[in-house]
Amino acid sequence: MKNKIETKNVELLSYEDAYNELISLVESLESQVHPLDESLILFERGQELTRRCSILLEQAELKILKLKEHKLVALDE
Amino acid sequence: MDPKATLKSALSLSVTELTRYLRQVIESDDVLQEVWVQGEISNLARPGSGHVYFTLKDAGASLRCVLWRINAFRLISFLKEGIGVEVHGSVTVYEAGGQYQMIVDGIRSMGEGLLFQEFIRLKKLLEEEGLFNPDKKRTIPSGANRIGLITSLTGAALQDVLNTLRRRNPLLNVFIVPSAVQGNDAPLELVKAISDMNGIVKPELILIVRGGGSIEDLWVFNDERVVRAIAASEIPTITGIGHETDFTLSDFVADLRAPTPTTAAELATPITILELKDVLKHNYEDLISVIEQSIDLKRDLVNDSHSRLTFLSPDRRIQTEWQTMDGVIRRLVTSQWHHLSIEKIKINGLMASLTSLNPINVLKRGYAVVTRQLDSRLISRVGQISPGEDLLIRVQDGSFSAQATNLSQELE
Repeated sequence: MKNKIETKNVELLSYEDAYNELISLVESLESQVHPLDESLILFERGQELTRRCSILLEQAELKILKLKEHKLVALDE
Repeated sequence: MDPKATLKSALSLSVTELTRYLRQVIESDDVLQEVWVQGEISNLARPGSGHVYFTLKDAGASLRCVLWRINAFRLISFLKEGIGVEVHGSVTVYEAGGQYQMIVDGIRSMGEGLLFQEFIRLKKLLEEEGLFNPDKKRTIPSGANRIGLITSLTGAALQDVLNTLRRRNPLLNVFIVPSAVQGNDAPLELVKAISDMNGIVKPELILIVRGGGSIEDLWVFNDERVVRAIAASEIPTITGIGHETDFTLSDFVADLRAPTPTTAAELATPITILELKDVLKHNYEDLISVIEQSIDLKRDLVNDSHSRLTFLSPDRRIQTEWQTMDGVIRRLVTSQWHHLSIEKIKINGLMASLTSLNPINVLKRGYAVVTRQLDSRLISRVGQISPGEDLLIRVQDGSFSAQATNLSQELE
């Protein structure tokens, strides 16, 4: 099982990579019964991936907020 | 004709008489008294008298013309050496000089005559070649940022166009390639300017403009070389030549014809800076909302995955496993319990049996068990022993030894 999971550091994953891994992980958990220890590892990984996705989304939103504050000052004069 | 008869009947006239006769013939001819004549002006002379003399000529002939002082003031502006005009007036004879001549009372540009015919001819030719074909018209870029301007540096059109462009969009880059827009040098200069625009300056759009003027002034824009250069331009062109009523072949061949230079500048900037700002603002808002929507959508997806994941949490699995385990334990216990009960009952039975079979109980009732000491055999008959044999007698609470004496067997 260990070699089946790409144990890339979650912090280094892009949003898309994290999300894709999360969704395939969930689908795998849904579609087949894994041994308990394996499902624990998968679950833990899933939680980490969820956190990573949420953090990235929040960062993106924050950036948009900052940009919105800037507005089009130069053109509005 | 009989030469003799001719000779006989011939009038004999003085030079004056003949000349006067000629004059009468000519001056009584309706055509010759009211006629337009086309030609090129040459030998222009204005002596002190104020009358103007010139020769109108074309490739095949020449005609002496006189413009009396009274008309000269009005018409003098038309008179330039070498230019083509149409003159109006009557033909008469200058008796003293023995010459026929034209008394000119009107002059107009050839635009309404020869020039116009040339215009029609060239227009037809170019039309047949497909130069005016609507399919050949390129779209004027709506947001051209680099605009090439071909015009005269001294003309009023230059400032009009620059002002209009600056007012509508101050961010524009305007590149001016100067060129004469009237006179003999103008066609070649215009051709070179168009070629420089295409080869060197490379703007997104070319404006070719000239302010209003007489039809001769605008004529260079009917020059075949100029028209073909505009047609060959790879960069879209807008012409703004003269006034609204002026149409030149350059206008026909350009991708867009503006009635005036100012209008050309407006057509070159269909989107003003204000509209650009608006568009930019809208685009920016759209951009923001698209990104926000995209983030929201992604968040929903992540939340969905997360709830699915939570549902699949090993925690539930472990609870289930616990339940299963409990069941198994219960079954285990139950089965063991059952087994034990049976065993217990068995044991109890056995114990009861054992109790009832315990010989001690018999002894309690006063019986004794006799065994031979020699071999510990149970003695139940007299015949089993001999007199004097050592015996072991067991009673309820112990045993003692005895010797067999007085053996007597009862008869049955």
